Amino acid sequence: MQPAKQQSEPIQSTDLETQVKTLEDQLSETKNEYLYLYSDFENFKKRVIRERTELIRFGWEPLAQDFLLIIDNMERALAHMPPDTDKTLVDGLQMILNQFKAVLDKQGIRHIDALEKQFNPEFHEVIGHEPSEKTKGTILKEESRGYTLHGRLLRPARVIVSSGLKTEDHEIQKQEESYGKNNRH
Amino acid sequence: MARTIGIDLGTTNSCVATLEGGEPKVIPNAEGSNTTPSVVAFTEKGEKLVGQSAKRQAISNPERTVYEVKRLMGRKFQSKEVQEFIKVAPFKIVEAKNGDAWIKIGDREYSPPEISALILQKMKKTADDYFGESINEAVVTVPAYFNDAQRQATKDAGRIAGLDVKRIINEPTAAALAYGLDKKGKELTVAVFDLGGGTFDISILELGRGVFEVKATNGDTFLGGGNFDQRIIDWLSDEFRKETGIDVRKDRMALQRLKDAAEKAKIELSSTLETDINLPFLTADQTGPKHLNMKLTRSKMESLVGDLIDRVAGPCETCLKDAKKQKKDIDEVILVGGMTRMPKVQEKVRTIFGKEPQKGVNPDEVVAVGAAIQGGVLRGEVKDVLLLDVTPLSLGIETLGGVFTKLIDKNTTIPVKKSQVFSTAQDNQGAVTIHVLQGERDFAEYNKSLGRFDLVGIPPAPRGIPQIEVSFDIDANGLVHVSAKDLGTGKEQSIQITPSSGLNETEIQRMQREAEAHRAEDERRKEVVTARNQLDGLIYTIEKTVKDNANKVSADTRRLVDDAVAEARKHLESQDLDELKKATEQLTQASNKMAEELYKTSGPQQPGAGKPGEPGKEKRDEDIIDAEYKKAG
Repeated sequence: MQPAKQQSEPIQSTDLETQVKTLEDQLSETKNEYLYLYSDFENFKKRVIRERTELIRFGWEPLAQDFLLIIDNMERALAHMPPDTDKTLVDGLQMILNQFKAVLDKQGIRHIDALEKQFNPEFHEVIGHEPSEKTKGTILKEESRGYTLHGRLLRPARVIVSSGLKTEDHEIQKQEESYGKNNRH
Repeated sequence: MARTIGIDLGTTNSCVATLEGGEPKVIPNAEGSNTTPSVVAFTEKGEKLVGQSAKRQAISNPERTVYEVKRLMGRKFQSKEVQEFIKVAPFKIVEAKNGDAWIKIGDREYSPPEISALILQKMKKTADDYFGESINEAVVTVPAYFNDAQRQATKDAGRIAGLDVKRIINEPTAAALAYGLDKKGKELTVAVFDLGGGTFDISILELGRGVFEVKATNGDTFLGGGNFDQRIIDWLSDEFRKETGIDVRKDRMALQRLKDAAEKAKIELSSTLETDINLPFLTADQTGPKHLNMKLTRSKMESLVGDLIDRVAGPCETCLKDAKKQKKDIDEVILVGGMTRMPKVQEKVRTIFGKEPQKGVNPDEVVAVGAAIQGGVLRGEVKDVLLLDVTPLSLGIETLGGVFTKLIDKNTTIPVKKSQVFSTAQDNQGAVTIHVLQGERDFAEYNKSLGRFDLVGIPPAPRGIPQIEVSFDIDANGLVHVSAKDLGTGKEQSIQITPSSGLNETEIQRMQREAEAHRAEDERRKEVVTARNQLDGLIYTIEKTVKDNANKVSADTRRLVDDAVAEARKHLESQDLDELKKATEQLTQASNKMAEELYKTSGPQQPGAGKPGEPGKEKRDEDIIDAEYKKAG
């Protein structure tokens, strides 16, 4: 009897200890999972708020880009006015264009300065280059204007940059063509 | 918390995604774009540019701008693929000591993995910025045909970028994962059709018991969206030359505008049948400025690119043959790559495989999404995600006029608890019946009744004054507990609804369909009921005001208001929305007249005294809906 009792008791307590251990492990694991999930959720909430703000600020980007095409075309139209066009008509059109720009300005759209500036790929896109006395990389011509929306690039300025005083024009021209042909981006 | 990102390292564009709370999420880069061009540039000043900015300076820096480096990954300089690429690449490709194809920029030679690493770094940074922490683990995808050397090269690229690449998986496998095909629980044969910016790949996969096996692949390494754009540009410039005699291809800026317009038109024609291409002042000659104004129809565009689309058929058939499969063996077809948005391409896929292709996941992002899911699986996140259920249908109660007022919307993740304050519809109403319903229709009678109970013993009060809070509580097991509490007396009644009294899948689907079908009709009827409730409320308010201020209102005004109320009552039962609105308007006019007189004679009244029907507390108006009135028992 006695030996049996002695034997059975330790087994039972070991059993319980194992059980307690397993349960404790399970609990800490679950707690851990919960904490991770909870912190994940907290961060998720913050990101959702941030994303919503972004969406309001930037959600209309495609529309803004379409508006810019209209501005481009109005600017082209004004630039093409024959010299004998009625001045009041030209001025009136210019006023409409300015009004449109002012509306966009209020919504956070600003144009990017390009002319005479040093080329910066964050804001400018090269569409060609020409030899010139200006330092290499200076923007010589602005083919279409670039704009930012709330400081973020909306559309790069398309520019022609200086390739410096003397370059092997032919070779570069060739490369340009070959790039253009295979540029499938 | 450690996260794993999935990166689609593409030939022309790359994309990064991760799992957020078990759901895939594509991470936008700093410029706000979900994909980043796989272009790397080294400026003369020693700067490294990756993505959009690298692309923008390519023309002025062609020898130092590397694009489509994936074509060189793990390839020997002498291989056919490399030799073909050398013909068109403006940057210098050289043979390394071990025979591999490397890139030479100035005096330095770069291995393709080094260049790819810069792209991966940019993707990693995109994720780091998004989460505000450093992400180190990644799953990167490669084409199914990549051999061991190419896979190793990709893995090396990851290591150079500071990423622990947990696994390299095949792009078609990732796409299948994104569509959850691994969870279908049966063996499937899947065709993955990938038509991207510059390459076309077709793969046949077999999956069963959680294992993916690529049976065969094929494709065309020089077929993609760029070719389609070029066809439209050519057509536009040919037409323009016919009209004006001017070749715009010689005018840099005009050509740029044509390219933009062509791509825009192509994208638009995926959702419309016709698009206008308007390019005023495109160019000019001695006679003055010239405009381009053309209509491009979808069918015209399809005829322009017909032969390009036909080119996918050959590789698909060879692939089927190599996989020893027939058209009928294909269980699922998945579309990858932006060009698969084009209806004609989808139609072609349907003809080739005799199956409706799977859509739904953005084809530009599907591979990255699949990689993110694989990352989740490796981390154990996917299988360990708490399986939280959602409510399949909305839950709510019946309110005045038989309207079904939702408290918990469908697809809400449970457990969830929501409450709303309601009031009585009549003066001295002693009890309210809470009728609990489930469904999507706007009217109680069309939805499924789950149960009802009464809350009695509400102290006598004018209508709209008692505040009865109705709470819905669904626990994790789907048990719905509904209670109603009179906030004035603290009296409470509740009911528990067990899931067995709910609906089965077929019923749920039927109800969702019906709600969709009857939406317009229900909305109209609800407008009528709302208008009627409004008119009814107005009559009540006016009558009460008249009674309370009997001595302050002149007999004339009194008569006018009484007449107006009597007239309004005649219209109360009307089913016509306009009639109800008109009656409300006329009554408002009469009441305004009375109000004018009241304010003139007595000055400001006690706050809230003239506004019965609304509880005096700071509850928002929209929370107050008159509960359905029904005399208890």
